[in-house]
Amino acid sequence: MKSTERVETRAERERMLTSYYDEVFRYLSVFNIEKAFLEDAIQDTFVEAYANLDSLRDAEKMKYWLLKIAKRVGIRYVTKQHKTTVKECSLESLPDIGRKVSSAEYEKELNNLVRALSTRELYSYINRLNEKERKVLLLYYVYGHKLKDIAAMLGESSNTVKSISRRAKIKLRTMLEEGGFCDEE
Amino acid sequence: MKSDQYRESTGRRLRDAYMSEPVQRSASAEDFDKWKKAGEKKRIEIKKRHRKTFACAAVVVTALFIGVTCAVNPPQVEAGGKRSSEIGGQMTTVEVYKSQEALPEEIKEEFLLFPELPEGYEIEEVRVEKRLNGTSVSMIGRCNGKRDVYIREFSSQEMSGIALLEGEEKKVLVGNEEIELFIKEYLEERNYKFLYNDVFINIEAHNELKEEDIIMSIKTAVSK
Repeated sequence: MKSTERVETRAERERMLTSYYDEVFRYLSVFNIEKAFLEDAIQDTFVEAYANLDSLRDAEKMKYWLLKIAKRVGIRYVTKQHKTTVKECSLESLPDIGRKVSSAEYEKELNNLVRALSTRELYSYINRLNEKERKVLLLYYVYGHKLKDIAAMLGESSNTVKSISRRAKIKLRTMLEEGGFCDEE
Repeated sequence: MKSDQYRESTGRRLRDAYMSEPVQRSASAEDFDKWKKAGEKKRIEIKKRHRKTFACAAVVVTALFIGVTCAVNPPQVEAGGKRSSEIGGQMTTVEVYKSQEALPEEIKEEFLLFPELPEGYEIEEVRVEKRLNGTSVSMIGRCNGKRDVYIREFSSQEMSGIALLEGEEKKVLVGNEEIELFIKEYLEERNYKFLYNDVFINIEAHNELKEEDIIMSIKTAVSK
């Protein structure tokens, strides 16, 4: 009886896993993985997930567990493709840029602007950013990653990611303030 | 609200916007089936690897325990003699032989014999220790004025792999069979280890002895 229950649990988990395909796709799309390899990265993520499914203790945390695997796989692809070893640089060592970008005032201002827009408007504004800026913003805000992690996901140095992030935020704020246009583009 | 809370709130709005974009492709049931099969295969490989590591850890612990106990309470026996004693709560029988040729047939069949050692070296003593959890054969190769070569072989049903150490160099010896040999260099000696017919073989030789010479001895032994 017990073994049947276990089989059902496993089957249920496998079914749950398939429902997160879109999440994994969206997440890995934000990494700097060449388009031709994106599907391979998704496949590797799911293969790894299936192989380790029994080690997942709490099925309710499956999405975060799966995205963690995707993160690991994604970084592996980025590192391989860009043939770079991304240095884990401490952001605290560069306080000026960090403070300006992540200040409470700035975040408050951006938040107010973003909240004033409809989902559709916001979507169109994000899409007007260039690819790297869009990726940095999504990884920072949507997925809550630190800039040094984002650097690894994009195969860039922490300093580059910080400047992209700062530029993206300024552009987005300018666009939002000016109704969707930005001269900097 | 704090900076982090604004960031989270902005993140939620951006997430809604990002998620409103339709995903351009989807995976088919066949894709998931394929990934599942590959995952299952990988899971078995991981399990095998874990089992090997676990079994090796057990062997290392056992070997260490026996080594320490033997050092504290070594069964004294002359060449050609045989003695039984209790070590670590289990009976151990020690038999000492003057050469490999003098070994009993069943030992010769189970363990790897070394007909050729590096130039000038000869096996002077072979010690067979039988315990409940396995049998070990230790050989000492001696050469006038040079450091000894120690060969230890261990056969146990509990063993299924080799525990790898950091800094070990892997070499694949291709002969009648393919053998994975792991070499680790220490300050004064080199350690060679490999598995052959489920017997774990460990050779310790001084750095003065060339690696090629030891490899040649191994090749000769396995091609016999």
